[in-house]
Amino acid sequence: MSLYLIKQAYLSLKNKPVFILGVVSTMGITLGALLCVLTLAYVMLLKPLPYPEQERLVKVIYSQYDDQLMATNNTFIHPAAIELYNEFNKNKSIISHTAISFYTEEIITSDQRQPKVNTLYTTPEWFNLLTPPMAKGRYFSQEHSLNHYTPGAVISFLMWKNLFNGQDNILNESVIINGVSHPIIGVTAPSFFEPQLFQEGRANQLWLPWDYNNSEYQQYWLLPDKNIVMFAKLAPKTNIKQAEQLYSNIANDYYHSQVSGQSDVKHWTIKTTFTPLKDVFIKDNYYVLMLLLAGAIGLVLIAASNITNLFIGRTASLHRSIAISMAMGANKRQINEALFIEAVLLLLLSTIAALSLSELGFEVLRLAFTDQLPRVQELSLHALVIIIITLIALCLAYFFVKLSIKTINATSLLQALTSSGKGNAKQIPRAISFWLMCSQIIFSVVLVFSSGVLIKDIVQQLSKPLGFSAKNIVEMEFSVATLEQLGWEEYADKAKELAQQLRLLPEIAEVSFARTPLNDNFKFSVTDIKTSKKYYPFHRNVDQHYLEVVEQRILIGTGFSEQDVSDQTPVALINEAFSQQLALNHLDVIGHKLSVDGSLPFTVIGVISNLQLPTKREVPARFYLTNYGTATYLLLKLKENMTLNRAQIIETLNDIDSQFALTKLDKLSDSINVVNMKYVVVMTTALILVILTLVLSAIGLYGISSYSTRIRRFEIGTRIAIGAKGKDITNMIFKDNIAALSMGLIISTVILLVLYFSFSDNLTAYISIELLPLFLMTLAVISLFSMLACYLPLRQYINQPVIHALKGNE
Amino acid sequence: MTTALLTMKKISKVFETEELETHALKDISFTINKGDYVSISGPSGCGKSTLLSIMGLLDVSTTGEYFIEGVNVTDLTLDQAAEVRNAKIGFIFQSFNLIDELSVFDNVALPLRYSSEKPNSKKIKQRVTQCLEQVGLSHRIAHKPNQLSGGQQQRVAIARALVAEPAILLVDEPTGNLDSKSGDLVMDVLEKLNESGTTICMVTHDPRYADMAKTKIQLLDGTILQAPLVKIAS
Repeated sequence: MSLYLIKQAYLSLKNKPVFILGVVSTMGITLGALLCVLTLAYVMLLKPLPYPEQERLVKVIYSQYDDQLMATNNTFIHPAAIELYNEFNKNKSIISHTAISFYTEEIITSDQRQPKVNTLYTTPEWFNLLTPPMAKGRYFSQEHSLNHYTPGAVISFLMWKNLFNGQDNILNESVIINGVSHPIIGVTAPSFFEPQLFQEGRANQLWLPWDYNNSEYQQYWLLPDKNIVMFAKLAPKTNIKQAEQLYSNIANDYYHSQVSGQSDVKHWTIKTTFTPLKDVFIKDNYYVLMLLLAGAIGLVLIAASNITNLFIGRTASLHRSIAISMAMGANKRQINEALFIEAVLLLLLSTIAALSLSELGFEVLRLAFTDQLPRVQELSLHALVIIIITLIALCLAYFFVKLSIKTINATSLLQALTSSGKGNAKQIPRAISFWLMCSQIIFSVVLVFSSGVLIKDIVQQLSKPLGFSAKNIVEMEFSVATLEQLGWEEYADKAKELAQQLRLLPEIAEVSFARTPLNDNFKFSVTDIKTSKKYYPFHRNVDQHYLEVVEQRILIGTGFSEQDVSDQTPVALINEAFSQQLALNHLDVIGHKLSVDGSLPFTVIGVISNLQLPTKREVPARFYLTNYGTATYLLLKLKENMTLNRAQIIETLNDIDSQFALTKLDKLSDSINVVNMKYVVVMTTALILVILTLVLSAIGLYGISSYSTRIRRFEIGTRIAIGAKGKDITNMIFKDNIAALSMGLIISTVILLVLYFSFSDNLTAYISIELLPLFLMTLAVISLFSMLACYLPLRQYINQPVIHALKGNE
Repeated sequence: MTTALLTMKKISKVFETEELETHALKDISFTINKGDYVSISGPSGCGKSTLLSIMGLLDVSTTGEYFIEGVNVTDLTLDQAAEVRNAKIGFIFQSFNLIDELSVFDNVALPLRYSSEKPNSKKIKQRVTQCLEQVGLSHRIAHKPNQLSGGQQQRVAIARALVAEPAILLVDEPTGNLDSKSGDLVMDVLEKLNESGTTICMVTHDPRYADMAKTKIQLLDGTILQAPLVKIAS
């Protein structure tokens, strides 16, 4: 590539600002989008985790399988987790380090504002395995190990800045959590990215020693504790399969030694598996990543199709100068070289634009996907991705030039030099024009329809009736801020008093001791006494006010009475889904006796409507038992147009007991919005993709049609001159393009069918006959775009005296 | 008795740009009768092609009136103008303006396809064959234009101009893109057509061919310089 040619290319492009702007903006934006998604793919799939010997880090999964070998859950049982932790530590030749952690939120009672912070109770190995950079102090050491009960706290950089105003002597401060004062021993550096093993987007602000965790399930062998996460570092040369087998056997034996009295779980099996940390991050997010990648590639393809057309138009405008160069002795290779250098210059400019836009793109991804995708905080430009994007840009440059060159007919160009120039415009080969239009239609239909399916599905999910009313409901939780607990019996009466006090507040209409209806936590083994058949419905404990507060309907029978709750009457409510499993008719299930984990039987007294939880496609079987009419969690139904403030509730709690600390006060509707956020983000992304696709394809189709019409203007002029009317010409152009349109529609339909049959397992939930109107609408919209794209450029020829079309200059 | 076929009264054409106003034609008036063979000549830029465009309803005049067979066609809509062109006017262009993708047959048949009479295929075939025979190219009916010589292409263009049996042929520099031998051949065809009653108005800058016309109009700077044999419309 000589300097002379580069200079010539620069001079040639210098006077074509619109062309340059068209190419650089279109390719810059689409390559920028591709660059961002490729960077995300690189970070998720290839980039090593920022921890020492990260390839040996594994998440420990603890799974319970019922007697039919169906997985009931993948959640640790609290005492089993501690036992397994101890087992791992016995033999360092298999597992060199293990960290056990409990994720929760805690109230800092030493701070008057009583802020609630994301808290991780963990063992020192958590820090040893991740080696977080520290802004101040140190992290946990041996003294904070299991059963050492040494208080201490590590706080995040953000918490230091926000709650302690970045004060220098932070290491002299302490935080009081649950009545225990923990001296702050360290502050993590802002550059620390912790592995999001519990919840995407969750960043811990406070680390405390494991011993102080306040889990409700510390003694329970039958209830899983979903807040526990364990990860470990395998010793070098450890065989994962053998290690899994070994610890599965140990965990299984230990489990059965603890639950031997429980007939229902007698044949259950425990398995422990070790999943490499990287795979944990990829597993559930591969689909979203592939979706983003497909969208970005689709956009680049549409843009490439548009730019091909621009390049062909540009080459056509150079015909005369190319002819002169050829007359002067330039050979085809030299002509190609000159065009290629122009294309390379433009694509390199586009790449620079893409690189400049990348930071903006990363920020958008961070904002949109922090809670959905792992490691988005680590997004930054990487050499590998820059090389890939540059190579793609060079390949595109080659492709554009290759196609443009196909339009050059050397002989006719040289002949054109000797003629007057009138009426000598050559058309781009029909095949190129045909396939350009066709490709636009294919990419557009596939992208628009796929995004449309996703949007329709999400709209359906979001608009499904929940089966309860979240209006004016506030979720409230409190804890007893001490480890010196005297047992719940000591506080139960105070909780009842609290409920009474809350009912007296003018803002509150009713109070129920019940957890949010949004979570299904525990599945129990339930046996129908009559048939001895086993079921695995989700379990919830509620009081007599719950159904009234959440406005969940009773379909048959009755709800719980005050006496049922106070006397702990063995009665149960079941939902429609469970009722359908038990009997064909809801009426038949009233009076059914159910045994839960081999307990005394409960009698079904009512069937209530299903709860359709946000983000869940299926409605599982659920059964409801009475709680004790007291708890640390409540649902508050507010009166119309009333609000509650935090200070008001904290004051009420303190009036009852100074050790009661408010841990949660959220509107139920806000919680639903948070749960739905993932859907909303994906829907917004899909919508943006649809709009971008439609805009790009509209521009592309118009460009192709406009150019092909412009170079057919003599033909159009001639036809009009010999008597064709506007509608004759319009029909002709439509007819000429109908083949490309039909071919595009057929190929895109085939592609969608192939996609459907190739990924039918994943797509079954999304595809149904109801999508036919959406599909037809997509075809109609793209067809309309194509037809408009054909018609609009024609107007200048059919709505003006025909001489304008026949003249060389317009 | 002579019948007025085409009458122009005080036709002017002004081209306007932001900076410039060009008077391409100034108060042009004349009449062409049935059976005439008129040549329009003059130096480059004198308005020949503009005049022919207005005569052929390809363009509109700025002022003046224009009649074809006594009907005022000055203010027709674009579609009405197309209909008149199709029925009354046959065009022959300097660069032939044949459509490369169509065969000779289809090129010639084109005006019939746009005709409001919608003749059937049989009639189209009959008429196209007749016209191609008239120009001596019936043996090339299935060829594509690029398989023909320049002279042959121009003769196909003549056949196309004749196929709808127009009242007048408007011919723009018919030999401009041809060698002298092919040019002569084309001029012979035109002459024979005129002899058989076809009215022809031809723009040419070649004095030899201009002399072949029965009536000569000479233009200079948008005005008729010499029209001794042209009846000036009153």
